[in-house]
Amino acid sequence: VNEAMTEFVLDIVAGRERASILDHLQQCRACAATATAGAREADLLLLAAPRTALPPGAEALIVAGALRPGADVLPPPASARPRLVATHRVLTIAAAVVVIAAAVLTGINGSGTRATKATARNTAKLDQPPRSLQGTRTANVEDGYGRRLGTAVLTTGAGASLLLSFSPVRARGPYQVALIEPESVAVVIGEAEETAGVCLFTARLTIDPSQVLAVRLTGAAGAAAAVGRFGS
Amino acid sequence: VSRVEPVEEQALGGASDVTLLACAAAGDNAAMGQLIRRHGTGVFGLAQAITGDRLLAEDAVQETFLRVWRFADGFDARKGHVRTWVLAIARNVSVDIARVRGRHPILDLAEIEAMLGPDAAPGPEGRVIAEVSRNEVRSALDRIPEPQRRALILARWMGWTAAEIAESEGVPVGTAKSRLRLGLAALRVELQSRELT
Repeated sequence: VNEAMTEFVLDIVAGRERASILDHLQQCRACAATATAGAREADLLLLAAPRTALPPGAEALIVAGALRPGADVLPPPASARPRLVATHRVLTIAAAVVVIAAAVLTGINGSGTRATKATARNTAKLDQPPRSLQGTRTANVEDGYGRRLGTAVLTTGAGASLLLSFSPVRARGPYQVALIEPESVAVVIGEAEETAGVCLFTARLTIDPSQVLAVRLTGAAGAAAAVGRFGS
Repeated sequence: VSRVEPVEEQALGGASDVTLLACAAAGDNAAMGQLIRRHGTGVFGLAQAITGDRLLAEDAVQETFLRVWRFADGFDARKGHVRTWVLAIARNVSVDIARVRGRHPILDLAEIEAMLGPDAAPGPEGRVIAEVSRNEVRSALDRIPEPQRRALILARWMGWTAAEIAESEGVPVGTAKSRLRLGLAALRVELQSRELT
């Protein structure tokens, strides 16, 4: 961990190496403090970057773009209300299998970057999903730094359901799972618990799945931990 | 759906970043606009440095602030400043975009030094404190040996791994790792001497 700490705080470590460092940091307060301080110093390097004036009107365009219906998901208002109760954690293994299958079939086999490099074969599969997965919408689950943590799958046919699989960067679960509808309305549908670094969750929906824009995961501290935005 | 009433425009200019972020998280468009005004030039400059393309940088700016808005309620002020949080998001978004569109051409020393030169858009006079910190970070960087400074910039700005830096510099991976480690240690000393950490 000591050897990799510099690269870790510079945020250039990925995959298994990053996971093992994070595991260690959860158990070692001294290293966690070192990492936090180091990351703060490394982040200061970003201040030295050049500055360039934004194009005229950029601020208004960004705000307007964010407010376009379906364009993005704003944090929910305080009045977010629970509306759905049916959760089925006993099907987590089956859910994981479906999630993985859906991810493979839709070409999501790693980061968003890799997804854009889908092969022609994968693209063909995406154009014609098997009947069993027709009506499925998928989303990359990402944290606030844009790191891909997992996948969410929304089945929109009969018996609509949400299948969710993600690995939090740091365990702060259980995670409240909420679906985001237009106008930033949040519908809490249950809690995802972590087992061995992985959160698996499935729920049958009683709301119109076509209205679901995103799924949001909120950690025990009450802060948004990750969001997955569904494509149309 | 309830929304927080927008803070008066006049008050927004003097509000702290943390306050603006909290207002934005509650759905205040004006607060978000103020955040974009305050940090847009830094985000755009960083994005342009990483992507090497103005249009790609504009995409990165848009995506960065959407993510800032989306995760505003998750910001933890104990872990750092809003400014560096926003820039860290911009860095990750820009690196991702740059990798999708093909690696940014290998930078030469002159190009990096030029990036550390005068700004295309100096900050407003009202942000003296921010500018001092920024200039001091640059001053701290100037005191770090050039190969280490270059390695740090390639890693923290561009997202290059030690292996990629080694390949670009024509040195063994172990040397690249050493430059990163020694460079960060030297930066720490310089920052501490300026009471920036």
